[in-house]
Amino acid sequence: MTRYIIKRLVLMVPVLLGVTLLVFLIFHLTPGDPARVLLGEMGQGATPEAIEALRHQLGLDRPWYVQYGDFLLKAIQGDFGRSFRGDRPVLPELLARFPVTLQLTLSALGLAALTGIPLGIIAAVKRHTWVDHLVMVVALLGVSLPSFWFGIMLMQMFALKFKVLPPSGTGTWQHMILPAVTVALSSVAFIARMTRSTLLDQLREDYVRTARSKGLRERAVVFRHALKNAFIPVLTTLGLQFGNLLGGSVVTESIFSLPGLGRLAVEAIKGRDLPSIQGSVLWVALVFSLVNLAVDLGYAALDPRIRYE
Amino acid sequence: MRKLLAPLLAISMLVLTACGSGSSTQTTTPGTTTGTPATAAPKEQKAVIAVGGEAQTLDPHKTFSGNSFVVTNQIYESLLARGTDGSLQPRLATEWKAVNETTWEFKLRQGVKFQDGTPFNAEAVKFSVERLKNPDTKGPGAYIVTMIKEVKVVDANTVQMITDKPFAPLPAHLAHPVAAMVSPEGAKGDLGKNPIGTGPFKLSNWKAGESVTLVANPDYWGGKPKLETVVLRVIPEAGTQLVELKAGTIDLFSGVQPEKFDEIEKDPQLSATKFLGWGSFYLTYNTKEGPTANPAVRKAIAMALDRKGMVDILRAGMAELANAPVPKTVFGASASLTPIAYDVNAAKALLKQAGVTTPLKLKLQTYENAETKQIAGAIQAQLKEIGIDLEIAVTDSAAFTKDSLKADHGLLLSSWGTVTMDADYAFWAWYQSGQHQADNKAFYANPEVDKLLADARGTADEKARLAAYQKIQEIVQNDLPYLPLYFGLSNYAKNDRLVGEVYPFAMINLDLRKAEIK
Repeated sequence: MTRYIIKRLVLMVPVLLGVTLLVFLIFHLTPGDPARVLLGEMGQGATPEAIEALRHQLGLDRPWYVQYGDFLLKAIQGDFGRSFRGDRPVLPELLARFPVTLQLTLSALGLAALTGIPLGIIAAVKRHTWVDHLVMVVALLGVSLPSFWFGIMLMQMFALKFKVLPPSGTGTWQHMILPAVTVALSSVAFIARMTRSTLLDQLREDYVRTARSKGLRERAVVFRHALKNAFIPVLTTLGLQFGNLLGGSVVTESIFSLPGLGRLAVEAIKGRDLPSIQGSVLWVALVFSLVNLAVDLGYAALDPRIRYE
Repeated sequence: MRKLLAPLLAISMLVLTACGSGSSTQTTTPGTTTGTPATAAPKEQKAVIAVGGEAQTLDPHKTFSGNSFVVTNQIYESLLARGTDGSLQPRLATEWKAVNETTWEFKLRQGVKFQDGTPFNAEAVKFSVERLKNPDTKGPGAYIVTMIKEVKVVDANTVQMITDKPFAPLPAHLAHPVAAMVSPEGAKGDLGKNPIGTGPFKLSNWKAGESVTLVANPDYWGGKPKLETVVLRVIPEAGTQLVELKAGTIDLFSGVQPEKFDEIEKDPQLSATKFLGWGSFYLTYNTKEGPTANPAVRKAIAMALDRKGMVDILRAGMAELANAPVPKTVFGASASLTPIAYDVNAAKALLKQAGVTTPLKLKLQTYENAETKQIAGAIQAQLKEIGIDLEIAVTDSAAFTKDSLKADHGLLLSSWGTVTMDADYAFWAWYQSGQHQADNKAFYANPEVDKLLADARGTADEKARLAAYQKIQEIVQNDLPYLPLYFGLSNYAKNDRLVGEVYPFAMINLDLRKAEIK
């Protein structure tokens, strides 16, 4: 087990290297000159010489492989460089933004799992009844409603009409409720559908018929036997969503003015701020790889037949 | 079963610790107020201002972004400042005059101290200007002061700025927020995190990506501000800013969407103000290549566009028809030009007369933004009337700034802010023939205009400068490298409990020295 974990951790190195190289190449292929963007709308009026001087300051007049090598050398030593915009160290910025994203992810995904899994189970057990149809319609709505619309509606209702929750920002746990519900909505739907379909598959298996024929109560059949086997795909879904959300949920973060990673990354891309882009992508790749590993280890915990040697 | 329970339990534990009892709070009855944001007590002197994006740094010399200047301009001050009428006002300098063509002299305000106790004097001015200019500072806005060759300390309270060439708009440049005076002692540390200026407010707390909290500077030379606390909160979405204002959780935001103006006006507790700012919204023609190299095509396009309709209907009164390249708030703007009249038939006739075959294919490039897309659509429809088939290409603004430099564009649609409020800032960039790789995206070159631009820069005589700018505007109206469409109005909305704020043209100039919460 330990050997397996070490092996997986070592394998992450080429993945991360590949990610940084890819980001670097895409950045250089994307139109947009960081120096001009930095000067921005207010920088209209800068002379061609001033723009060139700025490019030199940012080190953008060097060949791309020199820039990349320089980045790698520093990154290995834990130095993610300084942002183009504002000349600030990148890593502390990432670390400052991460807690908000983590908080949003955990609360949203927790909420989604706690509602989505029971809904899926109910729908599967009561399949083809009105309960099942109702759950599936709700699930369809959940996937279809765009989060920017749903978020604003929640805000209008709970912050303006009923005045029970703050509209946006952070500070208290109440601030996290509306964003968590917004993010959870589509996950709930997804998890409910996934739970329903995998549980239905299991309920058609021979061992379920055997369990029923030996007179086990339906509750025991569903919860003790079928659900456990149905849970592996659900865990995979949860893990993927977890990794995705840890990269930041840009739309929700923007609507609710949350200082998370998603907004940081999008602002960095808009500003063509290479060190910040590189830093956020590397961070997300790292976290995603670790979550994937955790999910794989979770399979073994669920299914004794799965062993990692 | 136990193995299944473990992960489920773990997840639910995490939820409970992360968001408290998230799901149960949803069911809170409307009557309970546990979750209500604390509305400021009537006398609590705290103002919350919404900003669209986070400050990149609190070191004014290391940034050139409006979001940073909104904050740094409360902490630091420049030698001069802009009044609401556009005039230059004394700030850290009390008097200024041109000694000769290349030398400006500034008398400094006496008895001013930086927030760390360091005295503000001629040495501090010399330090600040040289720091901004120094390439090691990596200041994107260094070009605002690069024409200053030397800062000479005459005595403790007098400095002379010597430029390499005559540069009349120098005082206007020194009113820019980037030319802020920083504490020479404080600059030994990291001003980006520990800003130290002479301004009315000092930094108390900066939460990354979320807010900057400032507190009143008790030793401010102009008297301690009435506001004890100013919070600048990052709220990226305009829709959220409006909800926050209505909920009473913020006091002011800028950039109200035109269609929301009435909604705010109807609320007795809120008000919204609009006024002419420093912005121009305009079309750039490619005067070097393609169909628009033909002056008749440029003129026909100008005649085919219903600019009044754009202002009245599309911008819903949030703009003023452009009768000059820059609004009248800017020094040097002409007041006597007659805009080219809207006349579709004359436009068609002109194209025919010039022997242009229609339909004529043309490309318009612009950047992603609600306003640019709206106006680009209108232009496309109106040009169709005279047989021009317009293709619209929308990219993000970063790509636009780069793409627009290529010589193959036809039309560009973009906006401009003459932030120094002096025509030199816009005209030099648009018309000077050496700026083709910067902002002269029309690739315009006219030796007569070049000479007038240099003349206007070279004299401190305001009348002579105004005459030169008038002449330039007459020439370019005829040559037509750019077509000014309109001047978008600046605006802001506020909760009426905030009074006494001064808002000279733009959010970065927001002056809260006399503001208070009533």
